[in-house]
Amino acid sequence: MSDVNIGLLGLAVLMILFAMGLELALAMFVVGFVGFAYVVNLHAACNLLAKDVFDSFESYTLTVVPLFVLMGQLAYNAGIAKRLYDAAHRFVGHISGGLGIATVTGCAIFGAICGSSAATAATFASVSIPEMDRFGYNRKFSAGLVAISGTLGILIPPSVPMIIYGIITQQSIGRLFMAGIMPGVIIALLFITLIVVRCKVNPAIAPRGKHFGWRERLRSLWGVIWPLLIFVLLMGGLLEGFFTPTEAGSVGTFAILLLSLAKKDLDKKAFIRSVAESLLTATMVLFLLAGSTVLGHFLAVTKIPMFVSEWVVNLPFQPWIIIALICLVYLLGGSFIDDLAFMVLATPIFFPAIVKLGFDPIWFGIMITITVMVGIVLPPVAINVFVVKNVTNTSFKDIYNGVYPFLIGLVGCTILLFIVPQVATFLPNLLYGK
Amino acid sequence: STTVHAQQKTITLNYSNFMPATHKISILAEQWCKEIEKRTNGGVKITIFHGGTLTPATQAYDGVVNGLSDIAQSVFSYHRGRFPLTEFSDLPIGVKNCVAAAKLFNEYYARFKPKEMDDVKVMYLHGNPPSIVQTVRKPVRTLDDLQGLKMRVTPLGTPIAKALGAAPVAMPMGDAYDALSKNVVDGGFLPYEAMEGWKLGEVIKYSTETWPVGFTSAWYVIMSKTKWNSIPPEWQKVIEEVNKEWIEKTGKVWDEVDASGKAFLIKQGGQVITLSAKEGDRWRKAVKPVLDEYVKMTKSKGLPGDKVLKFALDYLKQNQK
Amino acid sequence: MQKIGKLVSGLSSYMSVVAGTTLIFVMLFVVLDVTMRYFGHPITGVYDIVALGGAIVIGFSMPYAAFRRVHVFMEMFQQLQGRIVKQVLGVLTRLMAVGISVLIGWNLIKLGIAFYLKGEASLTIQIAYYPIAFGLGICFFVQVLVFAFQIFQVFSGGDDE
Ligand code: NA
Ligand code: NA
Repeated sequence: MSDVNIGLLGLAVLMILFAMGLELALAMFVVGFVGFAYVVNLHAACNLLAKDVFDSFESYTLTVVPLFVLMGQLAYNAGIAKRLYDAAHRFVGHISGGLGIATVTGCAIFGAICGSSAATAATFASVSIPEMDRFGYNRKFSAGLVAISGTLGILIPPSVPMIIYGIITQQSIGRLFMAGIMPGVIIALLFITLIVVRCKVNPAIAPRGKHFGWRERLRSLWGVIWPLLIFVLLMGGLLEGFFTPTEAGSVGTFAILLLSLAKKDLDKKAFIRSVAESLLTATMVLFLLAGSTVLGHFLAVTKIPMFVSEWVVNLPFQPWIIIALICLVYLLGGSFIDDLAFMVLATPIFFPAIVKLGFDPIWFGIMITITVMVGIVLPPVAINVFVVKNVTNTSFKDIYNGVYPFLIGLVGCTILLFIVPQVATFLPNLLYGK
Repeated sequence: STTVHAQQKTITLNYSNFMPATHKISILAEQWCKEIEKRTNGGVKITIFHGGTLTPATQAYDGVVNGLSDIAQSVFSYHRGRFPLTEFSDLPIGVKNCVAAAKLFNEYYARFKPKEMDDVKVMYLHGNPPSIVQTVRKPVRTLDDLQGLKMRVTPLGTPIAKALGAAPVAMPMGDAYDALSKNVVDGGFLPYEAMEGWKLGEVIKYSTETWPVGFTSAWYVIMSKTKWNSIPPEWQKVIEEVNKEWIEKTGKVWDEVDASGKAFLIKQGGQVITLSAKEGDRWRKAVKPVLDEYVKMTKSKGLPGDKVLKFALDYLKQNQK
Repeated sequence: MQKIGKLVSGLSSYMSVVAGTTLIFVMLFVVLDVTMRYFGHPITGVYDIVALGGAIVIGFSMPYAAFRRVHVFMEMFQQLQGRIVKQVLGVLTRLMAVGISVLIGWNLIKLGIAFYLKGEASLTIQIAYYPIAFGLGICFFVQVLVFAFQIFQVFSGGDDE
């Protein structure tokens, strides 16, 4: 059997073990280890296992993952979202679809300090859906909107998937962050446009809310100012050179912690819950990364990545079709594994091909992030939909039906990124040079 | 001896190289493989894996010891404490030229036969272009200018930067560009090579040629002992010949890469500052404690660090202008 | 049975407290370094300490994460099948989880011995590597207890924690 075939067999076994109910990370360890032992030798495989685990866990760059997660968790538990939403509500709640616009705006700003889409969706599911219920919004509309607006948290920096992409492909996390801002804002604007258009067509799905006076509006702004301040502190600090992107997670966590302690927004229980949650997420992510390192070493000796990149580059299609196909693979793979997990698994295999085709790695990072955003609201595995269902008890079918119309926003931005890559690359190139 | 060759089975070897495939050092390593294949009439076939896909830089040495690969190229300084005698190669001994550095390291290996590398068969050693002071906004003309500047260093450069009065900041090379352009640091101890290779020449404005305290890191190309012993003696001889030629070749390629980095910097408007002999002595004196520390460390382990250091300094004095 | 469950959950949550405390410490340490660097006095060895801290954070939260089953896994196929198939698959996958964890733990201990014999240490401030490798190895063995305990849970039928 040729090495490539052994590699393919290994991937098939990986899927079988996963389907049997073995944790994906452990399945990657098992297949990587056994495969390496078979192709090279047992002694080498034992050593590889220990070394890869040690290097993944004892790593400066990977330690930033729990810190960025902690920052989002603290923001989630400190009631920031509620205040953001309230303020937006007071400004636009009185127009048709206004609470929907407030939700998108709130998610976008909250996403600027939280790097997780699930945390963003969970927050707004509990904050804005009851409010939209109160004013007679269609539940399909509101639940779908929250599920998809939650995804903004991973496109607008900081973003845990972008950090992981940056670590795997050795791209500057700072550049990736900056590259996410414009597409994030564009998608938020597209969502708002979609809301306005849909309300024009059918005003019954999102009736007008209460009208607030300017005094109340201005007073509510106080709740918006400090999460925005933290975002400005983070991005400004990065650009002014006070700290590096890898340090930003610590600085952001510290700032949110100080502010929420000073404002007594965070009790001991919420604090402990935040820390515990970030430990769990970080361990999950790092296990995946360590497992994929072992698996990756096995695949490397079978020459699969070389084979894939040769094959992909020589496909008789336009490069943009190839990229679209790769995104489709991510979408399909993510739909039956887990979008983040599949990204960890597939990126080392496809990335060499992307580079060979001459695409900007930062741009591709944004494309993959948007693909992940689509993945987390599409069946069968749609984390954000699960989250919204858990919080609001809306049926899966209703949430999915609510999500579909808004997918136009994500697809629209993807097409825009194909035509005008500068939407992603302009800001990082302007701010960091080149 | 053609009959012997005919009976001999072809030997295939895996070579793990952590540098990207496009780097000149990787291309040269590939030529090394081809040369050996050619001179053994296809008897020894070597497949090279670039970019650390087989073993990353930090695992390359153990990868050879444990059979993950048969040959590997990487840098000793990823293993602090494991090659104590060879740690002289990271010291500010005044490396200016990579041909001299490569020859020095191989001479050292031949002369002192360090036990710390007993678990592998050394093919040859070399050293990357030496690090010097490179700054973004403030030109460093004398040692006084360096005082308190935040300088990006590799972990092993930390004591050197400290001894010279700079504030050492450690960060991955991948972060260096953004950190320099955003003034997280004022500069770095960097080789000219990084000006082009990492595009740092776009942000660096001043290069101070601090050759008197120039420092490099020793790189190894090693083979598994079992694999080496399985190769028939006449092919072993061929490989040793190729190795000998590659010492100077590798040094030359590094020097070319470094010169090209310097040209890139100048093209970008960078300014080169040189030190007077008197000023150079000040720098040399400032780093003396770092050299003493090495001697002390090796002595505590019963190793002849003092002799190695003296040999290295003398060698560079005679072989570098 | 329940006693064992209490022991496993107690041990893993106790360890996660250590992990959480370390995470907060790492965060404060980085902030301190950023501040000190601004005033021209960066801390030497931040890199080494953050990396070491990261190993403690992940190592010590590993058993808790395994206990809470946060790792990405697929239940659907198991649920489509009857009880017997579900139990067989449950036991099989738990045995594999135990096996690979033992293997990783054991090889980390061996790696620790190699680090000790060769004196390898972190690059800047030379923190010895061997205690980290030993520590991670032990964390994997605690994780083995968690996975082993999950075998009993397969038969008690519940995913109850
Ligand atoms: Na975000
Ligand atoms: Na999905």
